[in-house]
Amino acid sequence: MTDIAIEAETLGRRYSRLLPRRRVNWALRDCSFSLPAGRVCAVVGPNGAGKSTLLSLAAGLARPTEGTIRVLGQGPGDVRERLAHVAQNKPLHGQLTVIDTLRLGHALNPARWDQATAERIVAQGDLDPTATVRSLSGGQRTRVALALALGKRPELLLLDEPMADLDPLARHQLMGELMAEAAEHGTTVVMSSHVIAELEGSCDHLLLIRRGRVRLQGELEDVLASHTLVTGPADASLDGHTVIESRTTGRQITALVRPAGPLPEAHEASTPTLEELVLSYLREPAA
Amino acid sequence: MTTTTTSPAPPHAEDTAARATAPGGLTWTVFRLHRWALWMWIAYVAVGSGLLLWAWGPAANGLESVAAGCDLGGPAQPYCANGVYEALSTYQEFMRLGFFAILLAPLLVGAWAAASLTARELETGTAELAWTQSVTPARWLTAKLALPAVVATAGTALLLGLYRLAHLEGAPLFTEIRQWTPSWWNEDLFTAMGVVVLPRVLCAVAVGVLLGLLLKRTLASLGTGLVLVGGGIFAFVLGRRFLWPTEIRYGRDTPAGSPYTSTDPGEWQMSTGAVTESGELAGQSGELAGYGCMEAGYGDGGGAFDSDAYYACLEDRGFTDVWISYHPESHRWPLQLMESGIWLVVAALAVFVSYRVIRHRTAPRERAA
Amino acid sequence: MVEYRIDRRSGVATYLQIVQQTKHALRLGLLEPGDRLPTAREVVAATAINPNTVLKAYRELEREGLVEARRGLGTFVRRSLGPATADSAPLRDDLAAWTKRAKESGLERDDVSALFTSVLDDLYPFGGDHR
Repeated sequence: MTDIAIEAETLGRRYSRLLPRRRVNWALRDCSFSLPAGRVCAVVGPNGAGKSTLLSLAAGLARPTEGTIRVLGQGPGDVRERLAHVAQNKPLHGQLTVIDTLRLGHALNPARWDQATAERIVAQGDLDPTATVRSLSGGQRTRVALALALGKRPELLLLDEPMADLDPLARHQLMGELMAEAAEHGTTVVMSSHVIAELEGSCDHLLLIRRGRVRLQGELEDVLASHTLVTGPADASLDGHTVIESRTTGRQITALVRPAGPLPEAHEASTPTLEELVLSYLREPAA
Repeated sequence: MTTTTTSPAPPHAEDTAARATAPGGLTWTVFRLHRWALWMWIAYVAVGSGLLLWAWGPAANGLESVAAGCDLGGPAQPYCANGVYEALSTYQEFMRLGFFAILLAPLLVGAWAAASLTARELETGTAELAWTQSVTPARWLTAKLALPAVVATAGTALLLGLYRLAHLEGAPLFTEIRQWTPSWWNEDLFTAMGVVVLPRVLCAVAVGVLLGLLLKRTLASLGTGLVLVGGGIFAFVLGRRFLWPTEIRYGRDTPAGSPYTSTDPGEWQMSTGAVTESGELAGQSGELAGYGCMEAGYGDGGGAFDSDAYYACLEDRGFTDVWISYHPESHRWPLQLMESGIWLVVAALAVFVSYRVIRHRTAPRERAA
Repeated sequence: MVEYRIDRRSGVATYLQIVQQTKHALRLGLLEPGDRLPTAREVVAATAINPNTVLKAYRELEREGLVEARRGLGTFVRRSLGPATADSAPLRDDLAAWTKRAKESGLERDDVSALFTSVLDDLYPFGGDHR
């Protein structure tokens, strides 16, 4: 048993297209991070930043082009039974009924399957278990996909934009269910999301990816505490501090900084929210 | 961290109960996912079997009773001849449909395998859903290959068996009535009385699966699968003759009649030509000469073939003899096995490449199994 | 049993909200010694917050001696909190006198409120013990 859920070292994944002309695309590059077990980790970043690629690599659905990734202390190919992955498009067999979808989960995970958990999650969704998956709405599909993932009782749960199709009630319910699972079994949860406000409070670890590279990572509290949102006169100098982003309105400047020491007296300082922090990093001009 | 970093809790009591009734893993999954295809296949085999059973039973019996009521060797009796003709057509029609059911089976299986087994799963992402369960992608592929292969082979083998029964029942009557034995190399008898369809079906499954893996698109892979399997069958129809060396017979060795007269009704004749004075077998020019001298051999159209005149004519044209190449009936099984072998080699290659593709795409197992 | 309401927009750290709401319930007598606090699972299932946050809040309450964790059973209230108003009468008088002075010196209601909040923030920083 290891205390590290995911460990990546100079991880890179390239997609090459042979036709019509050879074009090389790095979806993820030079990505190094370490995620302790038992965390709920948010993977945030703009579209195309490499979030899905990272989750695929962790799930063993793709091979790294360079670098390594270790999952639960082993290669991703060796821990399939211990992890669950829900892809962004929530792939399910449309022709199966909800009941049969869960049965498929049981059939493919005979050693771990927890029918009660899976059924509970489906039951909360007020959907007909004899309906075919094809006839379900996007949100109901997500619920079934999550039931399939949680029914497997994974030690590591990889979720790609899990809440995108859900209404606020279902979102809250399922997030609660995920957190409960994490509380009860110590499941490590890694989820990518656009809905940053939804992640705040649920996540305790942050992985911010931009243009295929890890831009920021760590325990959320530490990350937030090491940044300061300052407001003050535009002419006051922020030299010596790392300015992530700054905006000047008239004579006033608003900036997100990583202070290297005491900030100028004239500035009003506050701790940023997760959303403020993430947005600042995403707005930061490309290096 | 306190209590939350434990590994997953021990399974509940009800889990253990549920595990006892756990459905049969991948096998159940593949059958459940392709339930409709399985029903369609069963229906297809049932219809084909029905046709052949009808040919074997009622149609062959009808033919027998009509034939028994007529003096086939004597002068034609209009009423009787009609009855025989109708019974024979009925029998032949059922056999023909049964043959088509056998001939088309690899095409249907290939098209379905290409579209449904892997392509659609990759297109919709359900393949990746399977690969993140407790099965390795390689085992998933094995199930996708093995189960359809077994089911398709079983169905086709049943059709082949019934065709054989029906043919053995009706063929002697057919020969008695028509005074003529159907040739073993005809497409229907070669296909349906042989084994080549079984390797074709296996190859169709393997190639279909590979196409799906490579193209990842249902329709593209369906079309390509049809073209490849259909093209392969067509290529063998045209080129099967080259799969085994032919035998050569010389005109002067023919005991009587025309130099090309067959001594054996089971001869599958290929090409003809003439032998030059230096002993070479001439193809096109020889063939022209050989046929050109037929007139001399048959003289002015009456009576028997005059061999002396024929060979004199040939010599005038610079040839000493004529030859004909053919496959005797004893080549039937070598040809069957050669064709089957090629299908199986292609199937094995497709399977091998499929495993390579899967291994290359997904994370490997590092730990020794 | 107490039910926590988490306000993600309040700016107050989530674990502090749980600590404060627990204390509030203790003051109001909604929780009494011997009562069991909801399990982390129950709290996060209802609020969708991170389980570690709940554990952190419970540890804080335990550190203050208000609750105790009994292994395998849950977290139980050890003692209640007396009403906050008990000995606050002199303080209230002081504040009233100060507010009167502020009014006399011409400060508006909002000015007084901002002043009070600023002093309050200095002396009771939010999430002051983040680390």
